[in-house]
Amino acid sequence: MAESKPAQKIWIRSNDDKTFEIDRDVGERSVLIKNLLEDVGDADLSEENAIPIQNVNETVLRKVIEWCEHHRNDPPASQDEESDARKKTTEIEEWDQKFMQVDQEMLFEIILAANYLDIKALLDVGCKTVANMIKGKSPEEIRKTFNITNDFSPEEEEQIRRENEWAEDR
Amino acid sequence: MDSLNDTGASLQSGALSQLPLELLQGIVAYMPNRDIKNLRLTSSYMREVAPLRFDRVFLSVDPRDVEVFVAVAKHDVFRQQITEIIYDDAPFVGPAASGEIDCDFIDSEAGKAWFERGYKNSLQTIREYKGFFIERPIDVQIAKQLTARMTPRASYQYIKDVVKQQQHQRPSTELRREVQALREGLGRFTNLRRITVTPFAHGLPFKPRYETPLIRSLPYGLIYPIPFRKSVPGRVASSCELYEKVKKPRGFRNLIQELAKHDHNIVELVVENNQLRTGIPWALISRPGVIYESLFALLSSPGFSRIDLPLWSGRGGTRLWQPKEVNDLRAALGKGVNLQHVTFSTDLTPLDENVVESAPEAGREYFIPLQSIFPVRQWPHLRHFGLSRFIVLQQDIFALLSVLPSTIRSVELSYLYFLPNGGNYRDLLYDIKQELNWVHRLPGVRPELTIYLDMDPFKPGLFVDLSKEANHYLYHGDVNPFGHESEPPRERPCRDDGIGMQRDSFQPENDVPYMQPEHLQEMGIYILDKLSALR
Repeated sequence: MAESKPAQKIWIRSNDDKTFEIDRDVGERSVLIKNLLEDVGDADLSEENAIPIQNVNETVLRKVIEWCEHHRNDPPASQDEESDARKKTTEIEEWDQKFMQVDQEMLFEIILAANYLDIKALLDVGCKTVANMIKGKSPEEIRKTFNITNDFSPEEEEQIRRENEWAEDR
Repeated sequence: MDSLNDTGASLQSGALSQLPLELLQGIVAYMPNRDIKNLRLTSSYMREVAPLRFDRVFLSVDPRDVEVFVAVAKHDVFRQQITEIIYDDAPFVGPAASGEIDCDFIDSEAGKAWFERGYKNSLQTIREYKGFFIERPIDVQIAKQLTARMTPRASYQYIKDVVKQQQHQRPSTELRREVQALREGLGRFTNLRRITVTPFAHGLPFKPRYETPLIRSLPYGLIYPIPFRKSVPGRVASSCELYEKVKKPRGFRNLIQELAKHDHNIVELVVENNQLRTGIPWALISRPGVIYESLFALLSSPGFSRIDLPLWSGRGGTRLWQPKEVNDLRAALGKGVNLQHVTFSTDLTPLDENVVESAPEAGREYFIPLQSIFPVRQWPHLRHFGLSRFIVLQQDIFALLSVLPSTIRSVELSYLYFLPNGGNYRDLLYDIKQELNWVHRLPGVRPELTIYLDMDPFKPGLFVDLSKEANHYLYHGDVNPFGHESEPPRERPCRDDGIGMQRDSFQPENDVPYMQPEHLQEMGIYILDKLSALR
């Protein structure tokens, strides 16, 4: 890594035609962009030839870029962490917590964008944020929070309660 | 998922249900069952995407445990998620003479007195939890539950019912129910791999180790004598209380016999001792008989990969082995060609006066070369080898370590008793470092050492963990935690050295550096005010 060299720029374009100029290492937080860049020669990189990000609009893409800039120097996640299917902690670092203080629509858009752009760490933060929104809430409170309609018959509900009793709380 | 949603339209507020399935599952992966239970009650779609996490089920003599076990076994989705059965092998035990308590006993005056003593002891244990610690969240929870505690009378009435339900029409009916359930589970849990037998499901008062259906059903604030705990205030049984009173460890016996009789996928058998000197009676598995045959059949079954077996002699461990028995054990272990994980421990007493004090040769008659028990050369896939509370000679244990296969990733050498003039931990570590060249293996495939030692003075359930220091000595050039080669070796660490972690096998929240309390106060862990000093 040559510190002296100015950061290489790349251009990405939202699905509502807004082009962003960003540092290459910021863009490469996204595995999708990283792979696309590998396919495109350096010579072909230009503002006019911006990489289209088809599923993400300007507002959301701006937000995602903000996250990638803050996390541009994060070490890559270890294999062990990734393979740990049972995730124990829902702790979120302070900056990310503030970053995720957005309305629900934006939160879900960020999660979808992180998934589409293949930014695992951002996706994890998004999922943890939703998990924390559910934490400790009663079924009715969860329905209210996420606008979910109860479509159970009393018998079905009883059956689920019974099954719930079989399981540990951990 | 390759698209956000088909229309490309932005999501509405409250669009949790509209997230692609895999993302919802990603969210659920971060949730404990307690939240999943509430989420799956919100709608039929959420029930589909948020399945309960069932990787293990519990079994015991208690009808609640049996009922849930069978219900899960009958459920076509849940049963396939089960990989482990945890067998709670600890019924309520009365005073020494009475053994396992029954309906007649619990109704008698003696039974009431037994309960009252147990209640008092549990209460005192709870009051001592906080100790010198600066208040932690768990202390707040415990204090709250203590304030809301049930009276001795109400607690007695409750436990009386529990005992009666457990004892109802036993042994003819209930025992069979438990065994029938086990049979059903062995057949229907298609992904079952491991069985864990534990006498410690109840853990400590207000701090259960496992959430078995029985334990989950106990009311908030209930105080009761913890099964298989000795009636001493404050601490866990000092010696093997486990199967001492119950001559027949029912769960373990049932299990081993059933495994021999039926087809199953069990490849791992773990008996917990939680760092205590307890275990399966050696006499039970060393004497020819059904259990002996069955256990050895299990060990030699194809694919069998893990055994954690604490052995209990009831004699301080000094006369654990007879040569003939060792031969049999070795022969059985030698058949386990797929073993990857082997841990054995005994109930050897620390500083056993019978062994230690007298002549230089004292105790040699109890020594048995490790490789005459553990045929490590016949385990080409071994990844973990653990020994705990064994009488050893340094050169003998070194000989064993030097023939471990290259697959070995971790080695436990805890509470070893080196015979007089038979070496010590310091020199053993030195030899490992100098001779075995583990350091030249790549990080990640180097064997990690675990070394636990008794506290001085001995306290059951509490131990000093020197693993980190030992590994740093082997692999990172740090000092030998047992002292420099030029000095007399330390037999065990003392608080003044400030080396190692003090751990509590029942209360991981109590782990602290092994130091004098004053230092822990300086570190902001303890508070040694007059009030807490008085407690």
